[in-house]
Amino acid sequence: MEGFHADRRNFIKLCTVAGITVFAAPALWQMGSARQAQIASDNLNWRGAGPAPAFRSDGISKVTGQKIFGRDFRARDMPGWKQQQHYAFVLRCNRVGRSFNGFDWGQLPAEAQPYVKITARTLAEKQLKLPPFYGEAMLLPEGDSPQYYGHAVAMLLFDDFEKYAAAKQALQFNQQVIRYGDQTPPIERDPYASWRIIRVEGPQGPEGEDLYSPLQDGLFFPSYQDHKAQWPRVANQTGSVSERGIYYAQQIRSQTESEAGSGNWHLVRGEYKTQIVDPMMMEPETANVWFDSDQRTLHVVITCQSPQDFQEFAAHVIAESAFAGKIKNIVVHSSVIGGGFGGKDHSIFPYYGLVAGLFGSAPVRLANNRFEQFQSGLKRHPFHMRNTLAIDKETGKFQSLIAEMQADGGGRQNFSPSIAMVGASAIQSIYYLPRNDISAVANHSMNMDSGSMRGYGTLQTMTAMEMMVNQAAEELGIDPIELRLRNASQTGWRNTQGAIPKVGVRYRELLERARNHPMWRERGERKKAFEREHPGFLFGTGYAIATKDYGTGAAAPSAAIQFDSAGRLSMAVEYMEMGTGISTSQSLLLETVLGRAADHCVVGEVDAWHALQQFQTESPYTMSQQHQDQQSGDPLWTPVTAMASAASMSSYFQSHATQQAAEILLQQGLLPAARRLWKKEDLDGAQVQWRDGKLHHADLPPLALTELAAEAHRNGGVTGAMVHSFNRWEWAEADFELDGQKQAWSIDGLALRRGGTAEKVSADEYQVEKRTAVRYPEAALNNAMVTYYAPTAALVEVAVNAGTGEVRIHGLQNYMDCGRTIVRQLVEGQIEGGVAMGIGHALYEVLPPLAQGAGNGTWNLNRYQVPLAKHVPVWNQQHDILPPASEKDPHKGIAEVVMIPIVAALAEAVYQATGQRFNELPITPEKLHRALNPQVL
Amino acid sequence: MAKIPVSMIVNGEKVGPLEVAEYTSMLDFLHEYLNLTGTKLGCGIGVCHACTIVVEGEDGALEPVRSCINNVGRFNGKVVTTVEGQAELDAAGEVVALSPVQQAFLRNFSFQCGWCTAGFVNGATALIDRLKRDPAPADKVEEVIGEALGEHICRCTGYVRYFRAVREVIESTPGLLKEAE
Repeated sequence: MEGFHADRRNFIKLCTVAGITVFAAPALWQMGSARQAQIASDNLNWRGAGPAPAFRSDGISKVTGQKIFGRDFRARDMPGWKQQQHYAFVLRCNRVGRSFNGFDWGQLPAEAQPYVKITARTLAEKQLKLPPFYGEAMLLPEGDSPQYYGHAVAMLLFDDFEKYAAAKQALQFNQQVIRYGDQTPPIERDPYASWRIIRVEGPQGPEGEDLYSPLQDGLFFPSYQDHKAQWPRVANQTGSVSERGIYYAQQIRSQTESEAGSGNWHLVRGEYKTQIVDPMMMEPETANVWFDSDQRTLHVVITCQSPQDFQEFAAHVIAESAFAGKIKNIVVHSSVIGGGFGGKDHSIFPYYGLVAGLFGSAPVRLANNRFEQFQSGLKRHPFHMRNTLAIDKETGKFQSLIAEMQADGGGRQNFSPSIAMVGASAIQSIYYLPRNDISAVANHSMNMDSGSMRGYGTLQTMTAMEMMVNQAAEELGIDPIELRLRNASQTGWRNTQGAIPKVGVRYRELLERARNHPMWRERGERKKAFEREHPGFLFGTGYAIATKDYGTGAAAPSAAIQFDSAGRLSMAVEYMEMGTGISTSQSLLLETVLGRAADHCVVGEVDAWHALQQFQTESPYTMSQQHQDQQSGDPLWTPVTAMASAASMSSYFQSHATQQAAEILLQQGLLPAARRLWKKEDLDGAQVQWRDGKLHHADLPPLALTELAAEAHRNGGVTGAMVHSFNRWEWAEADFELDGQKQAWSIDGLALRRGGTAEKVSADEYQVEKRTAVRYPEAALNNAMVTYYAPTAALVEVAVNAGTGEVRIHGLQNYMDCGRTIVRQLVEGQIEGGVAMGIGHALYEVLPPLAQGAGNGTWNLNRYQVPLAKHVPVWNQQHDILPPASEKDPHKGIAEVVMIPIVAALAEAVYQATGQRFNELPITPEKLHRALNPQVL
Repeated sequence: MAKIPVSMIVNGEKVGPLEVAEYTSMLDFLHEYLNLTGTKLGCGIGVCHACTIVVEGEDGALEPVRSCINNVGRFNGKVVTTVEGQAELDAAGEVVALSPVQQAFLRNFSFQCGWCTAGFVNGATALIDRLKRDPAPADKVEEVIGEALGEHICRCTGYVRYFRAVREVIESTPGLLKEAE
C-alpha cells in the first residue's frame, strides 16, 4: 500500500451532490500493479519484445493471487481504516403470496447475536431509500407481502467473523426466522415499457425512403389495461404517427396472410421461449463500507461495473436521509471485477452494502456467498416470442417479419425497458426485411429482477430468428446458407428501424466461407460415416449467424495520454477493466501513433476528466434538437460527460477516444519537437512514420521518442492530450484553434498539458482548450436505436447419445468479423469464452421461474449446470477471424456477439441429428432423452 | 462455538497455534485469519474448484484440495501451498520468478477475469507433480488434463487456453510422459 495514505489530499474530488462531496480513491488494484512495474524484468514485462504483447498487463497480479478484486479487501488492507472488520448478513424471503409478519429471533444462536438489526422500520426512521432507478421497499415492511422472490427483509450486523459465520449457518436456510401470515393476492403491475417497430420499405427499395419507419416517423406507445399493453386501434395512412403506424402494421399483417393464402409466400410461424439464466460471474458481489463518523466520511469498496453511477446515486441516497448532516464526504474505491457479464452493471447490491455500513460501528463487509448471489443477483430476461417470418417461395426472399415479444423483467425494473427495445431491434439479425411489425413488452413479475446480461436481449431474439431461418430452409428445400445469402443485408440498406448501419457489412464473406468448409460441404457424408462408426449416436451439423449491435447511442469515452521527459507514455481511460484486457489493448493502441505502447495505463479513471470542465443538461436520449443546438453554443457543454462500462464498448468507443488523444499528442506535441530537432519547419505530419520505435522522415536521422519527449519538455510544449468524445451512432466533431491554426477532430472536449511533472494523468496539469465550433449527431438518431454491428457465425457438429440425450460437440468452426483486432489472443479468448457460454445457454443453463427458482435461496452450482470442459470442444474448435476490410476498419466490439450463433447452430445441429426441433431453450439432456425415448416415463 | 487449536505451514511459513471455531472452512481460515485472499470462493460447496489449494503428503506428493468444503482441522500439521506461494518472491515480497504453470497461463492468455486462476494454478501444479511420479502415456495427455482439471469452472475463456497451457507444460517438461500404451 505504498504511496497511499488516508489523507484527504490523496483522494481526488469528483463532484458535489447535495452538499456531499464524492471522492474517488486510486483504484485498489493499481497500487499492486504500480508496485509490480518497478521490478519488471524482461520475462515479467507484459509487453515483451514481439509485435503482440507477451501477456496481459494485469496477468502477474492475477496469476500470483495478489489483492486486486474488491472482494479481497478487508478493513486491515485499507489504509487509514479502522482495523476491525464487521460483517453483514441479509435475510431474504424465499416465498411470496403471504404477508411478512416479523421475525423469530429465537432462531439465532445465543453466541451469534448481531449488534444491529436493520429492518424497513430502521430505514424509514433514517429516511433511507433506494435510488429511484431501483424502485421502492429496499427492505420489506412488516405487514406487506414480498414483492418478488428473494425480497430482502432485514440486515444483521456482527462484530466478528465467528458470530457472523455461526448466525449465517443457522439462518440461511432457516424456514422459521421470517414469519409469514395471511395469504395475499399476487402483485400485478403495468409493464415497465412497450415498444413497436414498424417499417415498410418505399418504392425505391432498401436504400430509398421508407413508407414508414421509426427513424423517419418516430415512435408511439400503447396504453395499459389490466396490466396488458393495448396498442392504438385507429389506422389512417395520413394521420398521426400511431395512426399511420397502425395502418402499415395492418397492411403487413393482411398482406402476409393473403399472400400465404394464395400460395406465394411460405410462413414459418412459431413460439420461441428462452429461459432465466444467471450470469454466474465467478466473483460473487461484495461491498465493504466504513462510516468514519469522526471524519464524517463514508468509505466504500464495491465490486461493480458502473461505479460512476453508484457514486452519484449513493450521494443522493445519503443526502436525502437522516445521515445527510453526518456525512460530508463519500470516498469510493473501485476495483478489478471478477467477471460481470452485465450482472454487476447497475445491480442493487452495493446499496445494501452502503446501508449496512451506515449502521456499523466499524467497517462492515457484506459478501454474497453463491446461494445468496443466485438468490439476489440480476438475471437474464426470459423472452416469449410469437413470430411469423414470410418468405417468397419463388425467390426465397424474406417478405415480412411479425414478432410479438414478452420479456420478463422481474420484480424491479432495472434495464428492462431498454433490453426489450434492443431485443426487438436486433431480431432482424443479418437479414434485410422489407416489412416488419415487431412489438416488445417488458413485463413486471414476481421473479427476481433481470438486468443487462451479456447480449442485452439480442441473444434471445436473434436465436429465434436463426431457428426460423433454418426451419424455412428445410421447408423450402433451399440450402440454409444459400437462403441466408439471398437475404443478407448489404452495406447501405436500411434496418428494421429505417436506419442505415454505419459500418460496412461483410455477411456474404462470412457466409461463403462457411459454405466452402468441409464440415458444411460434406455434412451428409460425415453424418452417415459417423453414425455407421458410432452406433447409438446421432450426428448433425448446424449453422447460424448473428450480428450484434454494440453501443448505447450515447457513448462518451474520454482518454488522456502524456509523456514524461524520458519518453515514458502514461495514459488514462475512463473505461473499467472487466477482465477483457482493456488495459492491455488500450496501451497497445498507442504503438502505431506514438511509436510504443503505454508504459502505464490507468483504467476506470474518474477524476482526471474534470480538467475538461464539461457539464451536461438533459438525457441525451430524449433531448430535442433545439435543446442540443442551444446548449452546444457553450464550448463546455456535452450531451453526456461519462459513460458506464457496458459490454462490447471498449474496443470501438474507448479506442476512438484513445486514438484521437494519441493523434493530437503526436500533432501538437511530438511533431513540433521533431520540426525543431530536424530543423524542418514545413514537416508534413502525413509523411512521418514509426519504425523500430523511432520517428522516420525521408532521409533525416530517425528520432527516438525519448529525444522528442525531452525536446517537448525543454520547450514547454504540449506533453499531454486529454479528450472527451461523444457518439450517437456518429461521432461528434469539433473545431479548435491552437496557435492560430484551426484544427478539427472527432471529439467535443480537449485539454492539453504543457510541460508538467506528474507521473500519472492528473487534472491539475491540464488546461482546457475551448472548442470554436461543434457538430453533434442529430437528436433524431435516437430513433435509430442501433446502427453499429459486429457479425459472427458458427458451424457446429454434434453427436447426440440417443439413449441419454447427452450432446457432445464433435467440431466447431467459428467465423468472426471484428474489424481490426488489437490483441488477437484477447479476441480468441473472448470467442472461446462466448462459445462456452453459448453452449451453456443452448444446452444446460436454466433457472425455473417463481417458487422453484433462484429466489428461493437454494440454488448453487450443484444444480445450476454451467458448461464444464467436457461440454466444450476444448481441443477441436477453430476460429476464422476475417482480415480487416481496410486499414481504417474499426475495432469492433465483440464481447457479446459470439455466443449468439452458437445457440441457434446447436439447436439446428440437434434437429439435424435427431429430427426433433426445439423452440424452447435450453435443450437439456433430459428434454432430449424424453423426446427421443417417448416410451420412458 | 467449540474451538480447536490449529497450526500448519502455509507457503513456507509456520502458522499457529491459533484457536479457531471448529467448523471454520479452510477457505475462511485463509481469508479471515491469515488474510490470504488469493484463494477464491466460487460456489462454497466444492463444485467449482476455484478454491483449490495444494497440500503436501507425507511422501512429498502434492494433493489438490478444495478449501471451501474442508474444515481447517483437516490441515492441522500439514504443509499447505496457496496461489500466493507458487511464485518465487524476493525478501521484499516482490515476484521475481513465476512457476512453469503460471508462466504458461500468462503466455497462453488463459484467463480473463482471473477469479478461477488460483484454482487452476494449484490444480495444474498438483497434476504436474503427480506426473513426475507417475508419467502418463504420451497419447493420453488430453484425457489426463481433462480428468485433473475437468471440474474447474471458468466463465470467461472457455477452458481452451488453460488446457493448452497445461499441455505445453506437460509436453515440455522432461519425464512427465511415457511411451503411448
